Amino acid sequence: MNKPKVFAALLATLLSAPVHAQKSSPAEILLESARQKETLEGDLRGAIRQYEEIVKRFTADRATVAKALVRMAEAHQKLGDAEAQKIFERVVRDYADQKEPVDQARVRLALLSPRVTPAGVVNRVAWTVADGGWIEGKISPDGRYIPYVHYREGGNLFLRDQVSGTDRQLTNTGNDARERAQGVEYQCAHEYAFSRDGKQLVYSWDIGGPGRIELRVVNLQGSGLPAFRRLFDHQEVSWIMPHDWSPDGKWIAVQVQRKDNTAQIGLVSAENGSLKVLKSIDWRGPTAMYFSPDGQYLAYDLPAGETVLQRDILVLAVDGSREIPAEVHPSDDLFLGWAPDGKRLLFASDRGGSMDLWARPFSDGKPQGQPELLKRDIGRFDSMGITSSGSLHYAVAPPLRGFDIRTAEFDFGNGDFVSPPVQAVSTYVGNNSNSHWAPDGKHFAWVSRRGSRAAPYFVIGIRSTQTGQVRELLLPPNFYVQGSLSWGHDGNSFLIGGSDKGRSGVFRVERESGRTSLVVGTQQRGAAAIESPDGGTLYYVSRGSDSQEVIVKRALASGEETVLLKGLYGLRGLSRDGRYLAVVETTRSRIPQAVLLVPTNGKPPRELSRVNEPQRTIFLTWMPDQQSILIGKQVAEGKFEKWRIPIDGGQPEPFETKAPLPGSFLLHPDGRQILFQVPMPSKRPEVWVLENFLPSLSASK
Amino acid sequence: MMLLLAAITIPLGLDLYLPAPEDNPLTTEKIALGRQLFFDRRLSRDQSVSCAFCHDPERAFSEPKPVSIGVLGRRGRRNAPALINRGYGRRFFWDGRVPTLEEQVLKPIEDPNEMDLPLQQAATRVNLPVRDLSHALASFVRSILSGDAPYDRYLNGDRAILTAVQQAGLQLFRGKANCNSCHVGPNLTDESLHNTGIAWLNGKLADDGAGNGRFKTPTLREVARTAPYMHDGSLQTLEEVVEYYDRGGNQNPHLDAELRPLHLTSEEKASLIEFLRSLNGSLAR
Repeated sequence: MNKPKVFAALLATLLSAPVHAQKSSPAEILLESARQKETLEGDLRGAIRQYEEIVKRFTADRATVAKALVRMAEAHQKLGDAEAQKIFERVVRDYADQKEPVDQARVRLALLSPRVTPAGVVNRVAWTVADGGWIEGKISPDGRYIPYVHYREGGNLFLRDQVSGTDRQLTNTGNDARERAQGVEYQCAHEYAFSRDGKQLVYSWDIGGPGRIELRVVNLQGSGLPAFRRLFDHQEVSWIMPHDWSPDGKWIAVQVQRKDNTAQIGLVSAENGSLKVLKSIDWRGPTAMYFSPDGQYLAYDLPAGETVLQRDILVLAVDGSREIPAEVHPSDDLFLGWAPDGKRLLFASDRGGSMDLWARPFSDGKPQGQPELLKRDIGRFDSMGITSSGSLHYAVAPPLRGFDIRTAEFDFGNGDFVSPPVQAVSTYVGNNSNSHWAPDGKHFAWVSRRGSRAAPYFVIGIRSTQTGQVRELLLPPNFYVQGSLSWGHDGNSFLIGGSDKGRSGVFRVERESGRTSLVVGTQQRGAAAIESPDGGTLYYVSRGSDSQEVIVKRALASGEETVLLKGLYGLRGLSRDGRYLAVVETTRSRIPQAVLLVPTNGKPPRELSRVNEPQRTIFLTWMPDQQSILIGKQVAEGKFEKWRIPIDGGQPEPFETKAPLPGSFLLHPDGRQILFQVPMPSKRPEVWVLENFLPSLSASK
Repeated sequence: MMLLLAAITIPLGLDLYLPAPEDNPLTTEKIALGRQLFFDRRLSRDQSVSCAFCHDPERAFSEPKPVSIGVLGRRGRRNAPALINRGYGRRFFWDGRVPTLEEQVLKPIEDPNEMDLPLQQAATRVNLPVRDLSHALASFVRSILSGDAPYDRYLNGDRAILTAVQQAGLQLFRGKANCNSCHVGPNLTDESLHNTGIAWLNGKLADDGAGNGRFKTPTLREVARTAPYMHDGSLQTLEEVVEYYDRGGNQNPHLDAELRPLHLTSEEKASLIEFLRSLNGSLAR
């Protein structure tokens, strides 16, 4: 058959199809047919022929013809034909009334002809952060100084001078975990931003106690440790994050989280610390927020909705009079900063299939024209700002606390591996943690942290132990995992410590739907909970009114609670029959020492084992017989022992094995398979700089 | 701290940015016109009722009847909600079915049980295009703001303005009573839809709301002045509301997961109610 006959036969067939006959026009039916030829059959040339027929025969149906042209161009693009560009241009030129196809064509055209040749752009590592250092804020406007929080130096703030290669300490009252354990209030630096003249730095300072934080300002002129000025300290504010300093030096743009679980964008007076709330926002704040160079506007990105990860870019007049949608697009758009002349908003977007660098012209208080692609595939990162010379600095940080999850089969009878450890999760290795067996042992689950530091999201991975099949459950975008994960008693849900829009507690996550609901709120973050085998009771750790921790037994139906233990506790394990909790009691300095057997019926606990410093108990699990507990002790630096402790009061015995067991693990219900996590080697964060990517600046050089 | 925009004053506790559509910026003229229209009985079929008939300014723009009575004595389905801080709203009506104030303000005019007047007729009666009618009414509603309550002053640092009992109530509000799981933010609403069990009567949903008996969280601003409560006006007092939530709401298959028995003591209930009274603000003065 020649082509027209093929077309006529196809049309007749399609028109007779009842599924389409009532709703779609002939042109739409053919478009769907062509799309199927393209995507299902992979016949690009055949699809192009059909798209051409649609364009030729249905000129009056402009909507469908525009869609056909876009698809035709995309098919040409896949074939590497230069024709693609011409067709996209035709759509933009001739079909301006068809918004969606025109938008698609514009994006494609931008991708086909970026404004800057890759050769003109330099992307390089500016500095590998000191070991233990962490980037949490902005670079100086001239790009010379990089502040960082040094977690191996008590969480104090330091300033890296890239010219001299030296580091200056800016704070000295931060403290590390050891000091905190000895009763010293927690203190630590967090986010920071420079004044536009680079002479002052504002930073948030955690001053200990639940939700106590303040803003401090230091003058960077001179040398040595600068004196700080307390700028903002509000009892109702649990977190404050400085983003940018206004060009006139009067205001600091901040993101605030209040104790009533409200998140807001506001301005703090650099003179007297008063807060002017501009806008209440979704709990997830901006990844970046910067004043326009003229100081009239504040631009930022925010999630497009409560249930989506994608962000849009908005510009707010600093007098609060209006908010301008600058880049509202189905793609994920992350704001990076203003071009130094204030005429472009720079952002990263995945609209082209990878995370690319784009610029949106902005003038007269509104976005202009179409976004321009500046550079392909820049990746996902946290912006540290655009310098006055137009360089983009950004931080690439490794996962904070990630593991390689492994499984093995171990014969506890003869103390040797039946099968050696293997990697059990091969995706996002290093971003995974909190692995746990399902009650029936047919699956295990773990938590995977994704996204960037400023815009993280969480996934529960579920892997079948029989087929190896993996399913991922995306947690709601507002949900932040902070504690441990365990399975619900019937395997149909998970219990997870976390926060939802700032509310901390134990949440239940439905295994099928991913729906989360608060089971019980807790004052502190990082809750851990276990459900009884019958699902009627929850055991969790909370903080009492006297700030002591308590292990609480909660009847899930009535909400009635009983305190089982009061003190400081670490590891916990519930016997399979639900009669006993095994817990490790820690010292005030959080050194785990005594192992207690706690009857869940409220009878007094019994001490099973105790070690004294410097020894510590680092691991606890019920043995397969459920009549004894296996514990792991660190008896000296780098030296570990495992002991088996009968729960009936019998003597503890060393548990000798032919092959060394991992330091800690979770035992499968079959009593043989183990699940454990190996910490990933630590990597240091890097500061990268992208230079010479702005068209006008490139041209002027 | 009172912050001035071109046409209105934003009271303490509310966002400085008050959203308004690009094609309907707030102006003093439109607010004034909208105020006139709000009280204009010509917008009802028999010229017997105005918007203010069910949204009484003396009661924080709410009404004391459980459900509204419209033209010719016709009975509405739901309680007239308080029109407070709706400029910050993201969805409108108890079931959240309308996304903008500009659309919302026209619906009661057309509703057979409320004002029962075709929009074109309404526009003709007041000698305005429908669009201007909508924009003016929306602008007026957008200007109805309540803030600067003792609660706001307390949050702003005046720690003595709330009594000890009210402060205890605030702690309960955020903690044990779990109120701010839904009543959150400057406007004390998450603007979301929840099944609180109120619509569950005799083993079935008496009102499906937005589906499965869900209704939008109302603001608690001026709440002591806006009785009766809930979408059907079925609870007469704040005491009844607190008792209702204390028992965990009416159990039903779609009950929101946030609702569960609270086990509040009598003293705690009284504290909570005292705190709710601290939410009367600038509108009451």
